[in-house]
Amino acid sequence: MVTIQVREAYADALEPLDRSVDEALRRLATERAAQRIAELQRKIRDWEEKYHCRYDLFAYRTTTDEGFVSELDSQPATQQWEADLMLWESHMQELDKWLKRLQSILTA
Amino acid sequence: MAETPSEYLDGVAACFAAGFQESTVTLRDDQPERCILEMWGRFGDCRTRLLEIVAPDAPRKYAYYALRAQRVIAGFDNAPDPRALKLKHGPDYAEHRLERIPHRHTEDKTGLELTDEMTCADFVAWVKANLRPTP
Repeated sequence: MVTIQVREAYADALEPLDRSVDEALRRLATERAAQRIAELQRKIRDWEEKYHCRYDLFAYRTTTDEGFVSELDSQPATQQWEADLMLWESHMQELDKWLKRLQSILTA
Repeated sequence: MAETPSEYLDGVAACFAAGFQESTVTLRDDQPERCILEMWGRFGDCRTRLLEIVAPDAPRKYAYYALRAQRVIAGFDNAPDPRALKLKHGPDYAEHRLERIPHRHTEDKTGLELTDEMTCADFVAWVKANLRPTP
């Protein structure tokens, strides 16, 4: 449990804190998580379209396949693939975090 | 007290802004598990780009580019690029697949050489020493 501060004007109206307040907070948290997940999925889809593959395959090939990275380096559109890989990886990790967060909200 | 990832990136941003013209932060996202900074700037007719991701419990990741039009004319990063892994570890490079290797890409990414770990200050110094700032 954490303590959330709310404006006094709202607090008065929310007393007594019953199930409806908890439900409203749960709905808000679910909505926020769903929005962020959709946003991250959109970004990840953009990377997949740019590189024509999923993250795992891209991360694997860029550490093992010299021909693949040379091909990426030969095209101006993909010459900055190292930076793209860093951002893509961070989007994947954040997506994982938000999916777990959503799961925990839904099962709370 | 040790510098936090967020404080470290504040310093990087100041360094990049002091080193290049028209610098802009295009991404700054600080979270407990990692902090990200992306910036763009200009040096004469070259555009410069910096991306750093710093986490409390993982090696720093970086990519610095100098670009003319859409082409990379110099790039520094520490991705586990198989060519860099091969240069460092020889035939057994696959065993080090996830090791971050600092390296430099030459003009138009036609060549690659190993470097020491680079910082924003090193990148700024390299650009100023090696690229001609045509207006």
